[in-house]
Amino acid sequence: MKIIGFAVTSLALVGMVLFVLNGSEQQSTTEKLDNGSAVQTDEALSEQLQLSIGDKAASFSFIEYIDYKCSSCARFHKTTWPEVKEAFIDTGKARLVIRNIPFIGPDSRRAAHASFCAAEQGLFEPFHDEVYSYTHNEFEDKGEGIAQQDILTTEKLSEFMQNVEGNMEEFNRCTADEKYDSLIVQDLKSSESDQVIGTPTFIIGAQKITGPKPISVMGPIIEASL
Amino acid sequence: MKRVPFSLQLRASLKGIKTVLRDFRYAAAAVFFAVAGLGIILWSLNYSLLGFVLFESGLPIGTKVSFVFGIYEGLFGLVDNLQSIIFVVFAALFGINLSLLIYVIVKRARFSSTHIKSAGGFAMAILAGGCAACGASILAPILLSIGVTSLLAVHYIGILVAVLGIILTAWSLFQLGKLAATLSKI
Repeated sequence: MKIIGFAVTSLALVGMVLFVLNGSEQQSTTEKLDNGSAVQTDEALSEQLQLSIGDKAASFSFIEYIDYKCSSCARFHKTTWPEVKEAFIDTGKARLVIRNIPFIGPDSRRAAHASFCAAEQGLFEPFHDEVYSYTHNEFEDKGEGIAQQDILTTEKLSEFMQNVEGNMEEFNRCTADEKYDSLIVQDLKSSESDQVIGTPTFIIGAQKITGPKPISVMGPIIEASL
Repeated sequence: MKRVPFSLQLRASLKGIKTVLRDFRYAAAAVFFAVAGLGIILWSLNYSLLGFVLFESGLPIGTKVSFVFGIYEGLFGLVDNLQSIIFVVFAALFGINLSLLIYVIVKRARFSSTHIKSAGGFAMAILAGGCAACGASILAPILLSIGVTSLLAVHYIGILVAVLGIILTAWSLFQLGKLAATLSKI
């Protein structure tokens, strides 16, 4: 009995310290979301060109903050995402909104720009899949780090767009002009308001999930927030 | 006074660890702490979600249980191999460490004039007992949790902090093993 008592107390001690370290940050995020002031998406351009996957008429949407060079995002996209998509997106229960916070390398921002240019042609989802399939299959799966390399080159991004049968002339013009830079800046501001500390981070209703998580963790949070 | 060679200290420490883990109760405690330690690491940064799902969500009990334990699935596939190895190694060391800590405190309490009769006393012994190795047992998972935080943004700093956590735990284990070896003779 003594051992069990000791076990519970010591765990409670560790838990208490970690809860205190974690609690304040999480609470402020929730407060901001409850007040509805965390996300400022009132610009017409942003409304028109929201990076999203799923039925626009879905009554519930949740946010994923990404960087196209984030290896955890690539792993999430390959493992948990198909299950989340099947359970909540394909059934029309929810819609995923993507926000870019390109912080890993210069090609992160290049890819973010390109994703808006793909969205302009209504090809965001297949383009998004192309990028993550490439980073996951060509690098992550082979144990190669991507952070230090310039892998999402202009040529590579054009190749992805060709694969999804986009209009290359428009795409190239759009990426060269960095037409949607203000939207990336807006996403970055939103991430500050939401106190995002890394990618991927999910904002689901009033809850925030930091880091990639399996469907058994994400599913109940989405379900409870619907 | 002649200093005891490190190899002899290490041998004594390993013998102490072996003695403790031969006792089924302490072996079971080590496994329990290892699994719990791994959970603490994997849940880090997301503890408030536990409160939300368990107490506010109104989801069925089965879903709540699978939610709590589902976090372990993330160890395979969602975390890169190096991180997975670091987490598992740390969790194993952490489990053995806390089990040894309990052994040392129980033995000390039994044979010293200062009896620790309650779980609260145990906590106080860790915090105020002046046992550096004991404090390290509690500090290491916090350090590793910080490592997980950094891993999301700055991979290499995260790994470095996580490795520091493992070194701290290994040192604590070494010290507690020696103590356990001495106490087992009493």
